[in-house]
Parts: sequence; C-alpha cells; structure tokens
Amino acid sequence: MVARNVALTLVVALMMLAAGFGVGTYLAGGTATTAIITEIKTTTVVFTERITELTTVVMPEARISVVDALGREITFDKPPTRVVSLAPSITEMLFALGLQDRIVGVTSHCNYPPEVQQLVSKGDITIIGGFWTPDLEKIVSLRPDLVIGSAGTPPHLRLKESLEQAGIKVFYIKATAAINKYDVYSDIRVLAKIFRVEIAAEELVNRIEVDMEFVEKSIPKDVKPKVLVLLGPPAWGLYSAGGNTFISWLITTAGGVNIAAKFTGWPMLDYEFILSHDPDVIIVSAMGSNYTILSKEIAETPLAQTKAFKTGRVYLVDQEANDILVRPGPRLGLALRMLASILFPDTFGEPKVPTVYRISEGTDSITSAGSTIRLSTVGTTTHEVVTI
Amino acid sequence: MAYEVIRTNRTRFFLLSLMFLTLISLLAIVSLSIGSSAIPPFKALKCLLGVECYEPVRLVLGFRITRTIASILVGCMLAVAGVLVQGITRNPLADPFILGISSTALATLSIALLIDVSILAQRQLSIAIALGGAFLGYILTTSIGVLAGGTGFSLVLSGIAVSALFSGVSHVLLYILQDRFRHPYINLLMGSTSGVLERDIPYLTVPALLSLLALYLLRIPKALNAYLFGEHHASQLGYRVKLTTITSAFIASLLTGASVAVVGIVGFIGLAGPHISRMLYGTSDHRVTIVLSALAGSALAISADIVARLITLFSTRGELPLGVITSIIGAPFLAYLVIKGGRR
Amino acid sequence: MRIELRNVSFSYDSVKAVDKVSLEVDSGKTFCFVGPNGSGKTTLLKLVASLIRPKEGVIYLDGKDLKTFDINEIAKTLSYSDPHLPRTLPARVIDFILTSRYPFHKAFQYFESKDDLELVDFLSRELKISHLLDRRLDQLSSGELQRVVIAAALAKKPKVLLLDEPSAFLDIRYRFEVMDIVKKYVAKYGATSIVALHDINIASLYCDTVALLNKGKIVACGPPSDVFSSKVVEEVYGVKVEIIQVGSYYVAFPLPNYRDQQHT
Repeated sequence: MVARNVALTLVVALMMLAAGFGVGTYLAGGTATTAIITEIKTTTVVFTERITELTTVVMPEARISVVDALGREITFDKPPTRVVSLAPSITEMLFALGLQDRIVGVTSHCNYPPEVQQLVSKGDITIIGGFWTPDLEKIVSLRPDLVIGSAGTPPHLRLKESLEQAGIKVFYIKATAAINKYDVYSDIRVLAKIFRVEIAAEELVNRIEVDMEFVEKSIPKDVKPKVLVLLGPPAWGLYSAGGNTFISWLITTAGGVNIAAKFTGWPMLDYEFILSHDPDVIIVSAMGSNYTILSKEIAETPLAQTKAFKTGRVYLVDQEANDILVRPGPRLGLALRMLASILFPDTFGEPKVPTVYRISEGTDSITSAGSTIRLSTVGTTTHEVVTI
Repeated sequence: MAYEVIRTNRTRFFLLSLMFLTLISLLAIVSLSIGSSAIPPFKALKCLLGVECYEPVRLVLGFRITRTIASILVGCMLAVAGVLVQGITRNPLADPFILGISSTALATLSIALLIDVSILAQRQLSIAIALGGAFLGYILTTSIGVLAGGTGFSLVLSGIAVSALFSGVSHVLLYILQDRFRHPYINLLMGSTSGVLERDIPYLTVPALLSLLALYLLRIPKALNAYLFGEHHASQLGYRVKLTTITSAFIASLLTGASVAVVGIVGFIGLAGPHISRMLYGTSDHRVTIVLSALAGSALAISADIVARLITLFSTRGELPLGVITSIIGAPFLAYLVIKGGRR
Repeated sequence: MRIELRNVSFSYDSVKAVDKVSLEVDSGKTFCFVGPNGSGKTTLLKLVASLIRPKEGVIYLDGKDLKTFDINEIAKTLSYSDPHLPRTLPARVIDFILTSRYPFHKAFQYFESKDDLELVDFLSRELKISHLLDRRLDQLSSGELQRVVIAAALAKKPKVLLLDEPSAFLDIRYRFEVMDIVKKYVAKYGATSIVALHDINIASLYCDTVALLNKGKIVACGPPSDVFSSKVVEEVYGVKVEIIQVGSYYVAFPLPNYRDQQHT
C-alpha cells in the first residue's frame, strides 16, 4: 500500500517536473535581441565607405543540393526567383549579395537597407508578419519558391511542416543562432550556393574580413574593459547575454570581457553579481523607451554605483545601433567597429551610427540628492549605408 | 476538560510559532551569506555582526538584505492571502490567484506598454500600474460575485471568469509585444526578487500593514471561523456574510496584488502555506492559521530565493525565476495533496 | 420567548415558498413543522431566524417586530442549526462549539473566556461528548455529530431554539435522544423551540403543537393527536395515518398502501 502511494507520488511528480522543464526550456529558448549601447561623441574621424558594385554571376542551370542548418539536404533545380525572408539578418544578407530582385516577402522588422522600405511601398515586396510572428497565410499567398528561416527562432521552426505541406520549400540558416563570424560567413556562403552567386559571397566575406581586421589590429592589447550587457531596461529584470551568444563573441573580439560570460543563454542577473564584477562599460538596450526617463531610472538603481556609471560609460543603444549589434549579418564589420569605439573611445573615436547615447553626469558637483543627467547625443549625421 | 484542550492548542500554537520564527531566522542568516558574488559566507556574517566590514561586502550585503526582506514579505503576504481565499471558499485547494487579479494586473501592464513603451523603463510606475490592474480585477470579480450571490463560491466562479478573460487579453498583447519584450515579461510571469530595489519595499510593507490592521480591526479571523461551518451558521452568529467575503477578498487581493506588482507571479506559496499550517496545527482556527501560514509562507519564500541564488553559483543557466522554483517544489507537494485527498 | 407570525409570505424568485402563514408559540413550548419536502419548513425556520426577510407579514418576538432587532441581539437570542455542516476544512469539535460563544464576546476580545469554557464543559457532560472535544468534525459518527450540533446550539443559551431536521440520518436511539435533550432544555430554561421534522412519529411524541404544511400553507395546526388523526394528513402525505396509543403516548404511524391492496 505504502509502496503504491510512493510510486504514484513519484510518477505524478516526475510528470509535473518534466512538464515544467519542457515549458521552461521552450520559454527560455529562442534568441532575444541583444543590445549594446555605445556612446557617440562628436565625430572627429570620418569614416566613409562606398558601396561597391556587386556583380552577380549566375552559373548555368544545374541541379544542386545544399545542406541547411538543421542538417536537411535540400535540392534546387534552379536558383529560386521568389524568395521570402523570415528574419532581418537574412534580408540584409540577400541584399548584400545583390539578390534583392528575387525577394517577394520580408518581415516588418526588416528595415535595412532602406531600399527594403522603398520596394515595400512600391509593392514589389510584401510584409509577411513580424520576426517572431510570421503569418503562414501571407507567405503562402505569395507563392514563393523558397522561404528562408532562422534555425535559432522557434516560430520559424514551427512553420516547417505547414510550409512543406503547402508544397513550399523552406531552408534554414543559422541566422539568429550564429555565434561568431564563421557562422555568419557560412550562412552567406550557403545562401550564395543556392543562388549560384558564390563569387559575390566571397567578395562580401572578404570585405567584412578586411574591415574587421582593420579594427582588430588597432584594439589595445593591454587592457580589457569589463562589459555588462543588459537586454532591456533594468526595471523589468536584469537580463544579460551568456558566453555562448553572438554579442558575447563580439565583445570578446572587440577586446572586452563580458562579465556574464560564465553563463549560457540569456541569464537573469542580480545587482550583487553586477556590482561585485564592477563593469567598466554598461550597454543597455533601450527598446524604444524615452532615453531621459531611462537614464534617470538607471541612475536610481544600484547600477549607479558601478565604475561604468561613475566614469560616464553607460550607453543606451536603440533602433539602428541596436539592430547592427544584434543581427549577425553583413554589417558585422560595422558592429565590431561600433563596439570597439564604445570600449576604446580614445583609440577609435565615434562610429557614425545614430541612436547610440551615453549617459553622463552633469558638470555640477555631485550631490546625494540627484545629479543632473546630461545626455550627449550624436550630432546630426546623415544616415549612410555603411558597408565595405 | 475543555480548558485542557484549549491549553494544549495554545501551547501548540506557541511552540509552532517559535519553531517557525527560529527557522526563518536561520534561513535569513543563510540567505545573507549566499549570493552571486561568491563572497565567502564567513565574511558576509562578520560584516553582518559588525565585526569587520569592507565596503564591497557591505554593499553586497545591502542587496542581500533587500532580497531577503522582499522574500519574507512576499511569502507572508501570499500565504495569508491563501488562508483568506481558502476560508471564504471553504476549499483547501484554492489559491490567491483564483480571484483573477494576476491576469488583470498583467493585462493592464500590457496595455500600458502598448500605449507607452517607456513604462518598460520605469519600475515604480510599472509597480503602480500593476497594483492598479490588480485592484481593477478585484472590483470586477467582486461585482460579478456579488451579483451572483456574494458567497465565497460565487466569488471564485467570477474570479475564474475574470481570469480567463484577461489571461486571454494579456496573452494576445504578449503575442504582439513579444518580439521586443519577451524577457521582461518572463520576469513578471515567473517572479523574481533579483530586481527588487530598496525603494520598492514600501510597496510591500504598506499593503501588508494595512491588511494586518484591517484583518484585526474588522475581526476577520473569527468571522471566517464562523463561516467555516456554513453561511447560515455564520449569519445566525451575527456576522454579515457578504461583507465578510467581500472584505476578505479585498484584503487577499491587496496582498496578492502588491506581491505580483513588486516581485511577479509566484505560485504555490499561497496554497502550501495554509496547508502546512493546518497540517501542523490540526484545525482551521483562523486566529492561529493566519499567523502560522504567514510564517510558513515566509520560510518557503526565503528557501526558494536561496535555491535561486545557489543555482547561479553552481550552474551556467543563471538564476531561475522564483516562481519556477516554487512550482518545481510544488509539483510533488500537490501530487501528495491530491493522493491524500483522494484516499479519503 | 413568545413567537408570533402574522400573515407571513416569502417567495424564491417566482415560487411561493411560504404563503400567508400565521401562528403563535408560547415560551416553554416545542412547536413542530411537518410536511413533505418543499412544503416550506426550512424557509419558515430561516424566516424566524431572520436569515431571510418576509415579503409580506410580520414576525414578532415577545411582541417586538423581528426587523427591529439588532443583528447581534438576534445572535444572542436565537439559535439556528443548519442541517448541512460543511466539513471540507478540518475543524475541532471544541472550536465549533465555541463559535457559538462569539456573539457574547466583548468588542475586541480575541480568545474565549473562562466562562465560555466552563459552559462548554457543562454541555459536553450533559450531552456525553466530553471525550470528543478535540476530535475533528470529520472524524465523528453521525450520532456524535448530531450531539455536537445540539451542543453548539445550546452553547448560546438561546431563548429560541430553531432546529432543522435535527434527527435526519440518525439511528433510532439517537433520534429520540436529540429530542429528549431539546425538551429538557426547553423545560428547564423556559425557552421556545421550533423544529422542522419529516418524521411524524417523533413529531407526535415530542411536540406540543404541530403545524402541517403543504405548499407553503398551514393546512392543519394543533396538538399532534388532532393533526395526525385528521383527513388532511392523508391528503398531504398521500398515505393513511393511524394514531396508536402506546402506554401513555400517542404515536402516529403512516401505513403503506400495499397492505390495502392485499386485503382487497
């Protein structure tokens, strides 16, 4: 009798535990946007780049098969001509490879390059939903011959069966699951293979590499600033990026140290941890909230006691700057440069990307009853497409 | 004979309270010794006792004190809310969220976020909005409940209806917002003391004190004792049943709403606290069980918070939300309750 | 305490549960309502207990309108025993009985006084439940529970004792026992008791006055021997009723129909 009860309890408990973990993993899985805040001071060094012409050379038609990020082998008789992109980084890659005229569908988050918006207004491209919320019907109604999704985004993965049932080919690249430049390069290359534009891909990868090397060689080797990344305003939780994320790799490559590197995924930190590591630089994703309010809020949390805040090196990133740092894609070089100038402002000056703000305290003497938060914003730089 | 029985009961009450207070003190000491900065417990204790205190240790200790106080308060408040809700429904399986207020709090916050994203950046405002949403939920649930008869039963039914409706609303909003706000939402949905600041604590202490005052000025414990034996039994003892249920529901909502607003949704404590106190004391005399539940709830909450921080020290996942830990402990406990209840 | 109902009516939504009922009960008397289910017995008890208000008519306690009584006064004067006692949450017998003393506590008195405990001791000895005081309600047999319920009712020392089916679900021995206790109390303290019964032989043995209810109306009222020997009883219950003399008692017995069929 007792044994039966014990067994029953164990079974029920195990089931509940399993269910709990299942739900937890699902919720915790998937990527979140990482944000890095960089400060932009007035430009002293102007870095301009021109977009070089991309020549796309199309190979003669032949059947090829390519392995996607899920390990599936997909065959293509000919390069697709009606493509739907499910992620902003995928859209950026396609444009960077000169494949924009093949795109028929993008997400509402696909905001780069600006050409996307023009094509949407013209009607050449249709919005098929959000990045996390793609609409199956809208996709199917476009009659695409290829849908490219991100292997790191569960809603994309969930579309697999439905799309295949509708007879639409779907291909996954690492996209948001990319954790370093090699992942990005392999994504670019595999896309190029599908569209038979391998030469353009190599040129692109090359340019990115050159840009990155240029940055890397100037990074001071003797000092490694400690960096705290917060995925959102501290009011609703101190979420950071673990060591196995793309942003963490970027930080390391840019010569910094991610204080949350010992964790994996998107850990929730507490003030004790942050203050015991005393970061030199804090980067907060503003998520569209008012910067003055956010700054005041940060000043009232224990974050104000970090070295980063006291030396005026708390950065808010938003919108474009946020996107650049969050999307593993063709703007990799720019991301590295931006991050490097946040970490080493004396060496690199400021990147020419707006929507990066620094919180600095006023020049008045600091009293306990609140010090002024002066936001120094970037001057009115014209928005230029910066690619290599 | 009666006198002996009463005296035995009173002694039991006293001893149990003492036991819980000791337990809570010990847990508090452990809680202050453990944290993500991995400062040796010994150092933390020395600082606490004022023996030898370096600035960084004192700083860290400050955070731990805030978290510990938040846990104690939230545990207390949720457990007492649980006793009240179980009292007015006469159902040992009721928990404080049955009144539907957590879903209205969430829905209100979601709508506020849609209107103004900057709320995401403002903790005090978010807390206030969540509290307001909880209050709205209480008004809604009570209005429908009173129209349906005003008994504990009708309150629960209307709470379920309100909960269902607003859960739907907040999930739709979550769906819309989740591209950008997924992580912050998780904090609210699953509860954590890691983001609690010192200046948030009044949002817990003030409702707690107000509730305490209301409970004893309005003599709720005895009213609930009478109501335990039936609506008519209570009425013929001179108690206004509708008033008792509405006021108890209000106090429960205030306590739960404040907890949710500051720490997020933490389940299980509102269910287990009352159950533990009834199991240990033997009966449901609310004069006793309210106090014992509060103590049991605090102990549970501090333990869960300690476990949360231990996970940070020993695993790469980082801190698990408080609500998740209490659920994991809660699963076998609930199974045990179900089996034990079924056998009778 | 003298109880009087004058033309009292009450309806649940559109169903008339009590229809222009008038009656009088004197102190020291036991008054019984009998009648089939749904005839209004429980409703009348609730009306006298002031748990519900009559839609028409007035109820008087010692000549004073029940509506004018303060809710606490009523709590100290009347005692209403609900036949259904919820036992979902654990509770001890002593806690249950002591709730009856709450109306007598001072404003902010939190715990029971010594007097309360002595009264409980006295009642438990009388009702032979002393050994049950710290048992849980759900651990009692129905006979024990019934005695506990009566103890709780008497703990108020009420001037009016309202009992709803006090001997339902009980063994024969306990059925009589409960009514014995009620009569003893009523006689000793000059209280009034109104009991709703479905068992007509108990009614005939214990009640001073019986009111037969049908569909909310009183169709017969008076001493049991009168009421139960009238033709009305047969109409209301649909069975023949015989009055039998047993010693000095008159007992009413319903007779099943099949006996008639056997004879014919």
